[in-house]
Amino acid sequence: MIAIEIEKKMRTYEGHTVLRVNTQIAPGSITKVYGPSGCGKSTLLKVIAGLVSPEKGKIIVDDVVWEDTATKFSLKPQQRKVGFVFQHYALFPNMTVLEHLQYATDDAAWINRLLHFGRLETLVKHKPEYLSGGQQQRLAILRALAIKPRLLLMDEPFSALDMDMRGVIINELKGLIRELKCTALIVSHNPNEVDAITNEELAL
Amino acid sequence: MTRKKLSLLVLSLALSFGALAQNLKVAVAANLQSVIKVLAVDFKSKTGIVVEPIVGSTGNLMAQIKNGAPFDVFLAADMGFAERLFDDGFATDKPTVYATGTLIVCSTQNIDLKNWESLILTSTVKKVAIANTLTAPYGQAAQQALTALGLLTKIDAKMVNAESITQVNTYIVTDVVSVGFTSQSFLHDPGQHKKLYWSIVDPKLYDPIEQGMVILKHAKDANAAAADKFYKYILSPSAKAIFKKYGYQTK
Amino acid sequence: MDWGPIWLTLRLAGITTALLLVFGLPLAYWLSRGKSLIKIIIEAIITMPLVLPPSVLGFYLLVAFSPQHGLGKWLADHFDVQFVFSFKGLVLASVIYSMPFMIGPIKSALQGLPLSLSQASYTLGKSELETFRKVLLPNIRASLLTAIILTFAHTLGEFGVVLMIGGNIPGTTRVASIAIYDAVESMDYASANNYSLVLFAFTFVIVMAVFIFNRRSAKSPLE
Repeated sequence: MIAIEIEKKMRTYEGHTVLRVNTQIAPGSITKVYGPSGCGKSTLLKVIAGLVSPEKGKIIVDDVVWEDTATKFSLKPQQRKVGFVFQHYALFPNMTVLEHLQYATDDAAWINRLLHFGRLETLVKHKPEYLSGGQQQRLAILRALAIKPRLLLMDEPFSALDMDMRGVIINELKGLIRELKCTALIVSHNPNEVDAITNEELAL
Repeated sequence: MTRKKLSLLVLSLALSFGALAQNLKVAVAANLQSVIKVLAVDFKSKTGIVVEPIVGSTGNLMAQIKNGAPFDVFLAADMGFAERLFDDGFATDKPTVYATGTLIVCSTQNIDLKNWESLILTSTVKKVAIANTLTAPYGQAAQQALTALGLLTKIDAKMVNAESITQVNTYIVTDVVSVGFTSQSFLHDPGQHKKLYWSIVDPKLYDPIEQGMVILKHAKDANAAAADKFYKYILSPSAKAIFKKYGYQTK
Repeated sequence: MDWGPIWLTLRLAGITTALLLVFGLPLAYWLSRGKSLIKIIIEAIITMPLVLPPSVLGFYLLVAFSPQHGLGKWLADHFDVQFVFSFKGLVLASVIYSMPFMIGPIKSALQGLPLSLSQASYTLGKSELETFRKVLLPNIRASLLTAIILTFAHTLGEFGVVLMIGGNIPGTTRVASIAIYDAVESMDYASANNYSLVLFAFTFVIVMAVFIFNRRSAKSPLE
């Protein structure tokens, strides 16, 4: 179970706004996170992942404290085992598709399964600059899954996929998440698109 | 008078004033760095002509003059470089000796330099500064003295080559060398405040440092006259008195 | 022609570049993260040699390492090391003087990489060091190469500082730039020309080779 109670100041075009979240995420759930533009959806994911520190707050995951500003404790992102799919993919320009996954894990069988899931088997030797937008996004998803995360955070992960691909990916992703027994949060601008997969929601 | 004519008149007056007010550019060897200032002040009080000294090592200055440097008079630290200028057509006449320099060995450390010839071989003396032997006559003199004493090869590892006498003095004063071979005039340098320990190098060990002066062909018109005045002044009794005060010998 | 000064110059440039690479990479990385006041001050100090006249640096080094007092004396007494009139001194001076050429391009390139690249690597469980080696460095290859060439070439041409603290000792501190200067001073234009041509040709070949090798990704040092 993930307990999140945080406050984070965010810089906006006109000044500042404060992101306040106080919620519990059930284990194994797939939660859709939505809200108006600029309200802090991406920021929330980054705070949970440990990439950004809140001003005030506490995050407890399965009775382990990940973040506690009162005691100035913050578990390093490296130790949180969070699979993160970035909004702009954050792929490594110097690595091929295969190298991305090998960087994340040694499990060759798992890598092959992921490549099949992402429909990227024929592109293993390609670097990101030679992949289409949709292919890049799929790679970003695969990379996050490669570490067999206990928590999967996805920021607009299907935006570049065409309708057919989106349906296929979302469907198979559901199965993988269940298999990994991980909990997921998915940010989406378009809340309806992820309804097929999410069973909870968090409005910001 | 029309506007145009008036501005032309002003312009030509300004230019001609510029021509009259030109300073006399005198190239001087590095060892004369401080004495030239005193000479310039004295010369100005007598003639009203302003002297602009350009300091460098003799060989450097000679090369610059040969390549068109705009100097009017050259006070070298030897005769050889000055003579070459005359031979190559850059000077109006053969050089005249205006002073004779003295080589000293000098240090800021309180070591007894009376027997520097043997002291220089010991570990008390770690580094020895000598001016560039190709372009600085005092460097050549030092080299001659060391060779005559059979020391040159023995202290090879300690030798530091400075660009000019000026740099030798810098090395001495910043304590980076144990001793340096420099000109006696350094002792009278008003800008120099550290206590110096020194000893005269036996003049018999090197060819006399006869410092030669030439007027350069570059000096034309008004400057030629000024150069001539300066030339005569340097050889005059008042200049000689100043040279003597700075440790030079004059005839 | 006496090749001594050329070899000496190449040795000086090579050692300086190698040292700057070893110390410069972590320093550039540190400077590229965040903008605390102390980082700004240090960056300013590192950049000083770009605008400081070489003779100023040379003069301060001369005074600072004079073996008669202070730091110079301590070094001489305890380690029998003298930085004035020695090759070691030239290396020290070159490292200080060429530092901005190594650190500048690398720091800029690191800052130009999206923060999300490092963040993605951290979420995969990778340490900062591993991230630096496997994600950041490979993606600044062109700037890294530029930094190395600039540093090397800059040291090849170093003159003012060497003139002050080198002492023009053949085989130890008489680098090519000094040899050329000496040759010109004594009107030996033939030697001056020989040395100059060798340095010019060498530098030109290095730069050309790098551009050919990096045809697609090399940046002109002027960018």
